[in-house]
Amino acid sequence: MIANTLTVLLLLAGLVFFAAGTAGLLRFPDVYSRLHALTKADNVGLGLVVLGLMFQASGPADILKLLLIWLLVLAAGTTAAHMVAQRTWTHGEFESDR
Amino acid sequence: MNGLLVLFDLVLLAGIVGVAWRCLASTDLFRAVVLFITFGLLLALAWVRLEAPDIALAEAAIGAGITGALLLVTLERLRSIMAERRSGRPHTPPPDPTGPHALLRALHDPPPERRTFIPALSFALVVGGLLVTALWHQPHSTGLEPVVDAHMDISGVDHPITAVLLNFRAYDTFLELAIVLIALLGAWSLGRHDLIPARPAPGPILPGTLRLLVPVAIVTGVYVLWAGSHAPGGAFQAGAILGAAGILLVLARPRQLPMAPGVPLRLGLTAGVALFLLVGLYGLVAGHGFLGYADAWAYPLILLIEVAATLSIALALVALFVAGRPAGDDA
Amino acid sequence: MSVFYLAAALFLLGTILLGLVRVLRGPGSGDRMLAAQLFGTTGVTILLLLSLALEESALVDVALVFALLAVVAAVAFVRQHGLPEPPDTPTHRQHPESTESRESNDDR
Repeated sequence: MIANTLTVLLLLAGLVFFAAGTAGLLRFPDVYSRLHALTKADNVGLGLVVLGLMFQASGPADILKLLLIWLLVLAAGTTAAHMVAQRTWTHGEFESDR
Repeated sequence: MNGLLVLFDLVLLAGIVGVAWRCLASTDLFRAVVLFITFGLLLALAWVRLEAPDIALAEAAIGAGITGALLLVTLERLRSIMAERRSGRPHTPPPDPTGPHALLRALHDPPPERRTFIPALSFALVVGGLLVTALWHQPHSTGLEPVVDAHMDISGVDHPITAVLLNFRAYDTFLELAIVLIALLGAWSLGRHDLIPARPAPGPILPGTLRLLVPVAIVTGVYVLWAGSHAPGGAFQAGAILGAAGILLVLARPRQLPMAPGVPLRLGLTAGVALFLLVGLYGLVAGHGFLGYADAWAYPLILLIEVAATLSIALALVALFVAGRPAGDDA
Repeated sequence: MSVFYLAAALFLLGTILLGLVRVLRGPGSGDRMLAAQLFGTTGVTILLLLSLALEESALVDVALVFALLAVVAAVAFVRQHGLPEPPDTPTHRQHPESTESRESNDDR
């Protein structure tokens, strides 16, 4: 019961960050500020969801797998945000796409 | 629960169709590529809802790891060809009507005129109507599930899909492996791989991430291969994951990549098909039929074939990604 | 509980479809790539939720593969060649030797 309540609360909190990330992606004015949208969903959104799902895991192997997924997404998100920012910095924001 | 599931499926379906439509209708190639990546993600979710986690796993590995990178690199190549043409250097050869420039011209032709819309729509309606009629009159059948379940104990594995792919209908898998090899031979026969004049992103972030990710990818690939005996997974998924790790290396350090020596590379590429063929011929001689196994030997033989197939698929995917025989390869 | 997981997954699917507006509108390719990256993370989360809602533990493996390979497209995106380079960028100052080799390759 307590585990279920914790899961629901953590999942709801995670969803809020996903909503915030999407809102940021849509509403922020340029690439550099939109980078923040991505990190909200990666770090905190997925992190809270993973933490919430850990209370439902059936064993330590499942918990470690969830943790690994979160760490991998963190690494991917960090690298991608860095590289997109770098490319935008060197090539300009409005390069022609054709 | 059921109503919510239907709602989820409808939203997913609308998303898939919408993304596919915008992807095909887009005049901006980069936008089309990103939409295609998103399409692959939604498609994996659709496979999940169709209760086919094996295919979802393959779609995840191929869609996320290979197709997106392939399309983006192709786009970069097209751009560099375009830039060369625009700059009009004197030593640029005149455009070859069958070469890559022809493709570029085709890409930049004006979109088709409006009057093609009505015939296209009526054609789509007719085909859709035929499909619906065909599905409507499907005879009721239980499928092959009971047959497979009845024979699971002699298959050597615990996962029905692996049993079908590697035992009951092994020749399908054998021919699929052969197709991958033939595709690679086709790509190699088109010429040598010329190094793309590419620079990886400067800075320490990318090499650091690679040092973390590539070992994890190898472990995950082996895990997915191993899981194939009792859960979704297997040679194709594992090969795609390992291939994606190789592509990541190719992308990140195009210059420092060690050139694979010719003979081991060829042995690795053909290992899957060759081993499969050997086992199949042995089955024929030993009286189990082509590609049949003795019951006691089914598990070790399947495992052996899966390992060789994983290696071949991973190597073939990387080789197809760089396209063309490696430079300096004269074996 | 599984109704709750499914509702959460549906909500996340909705955020993906909303985020597609950014892909369609752009304006730069960096914006679109960022959106794709965000969709990848959201897709991983949806898969984790579905694995509990549908009681299909293999979906965690699918999520793992997505998480593992999420970076490949971004690495392909950032390869820099073919585009005209601004003459005075940090990239240029740090890597003169790689710029030279690039030009010699262009002369083929």
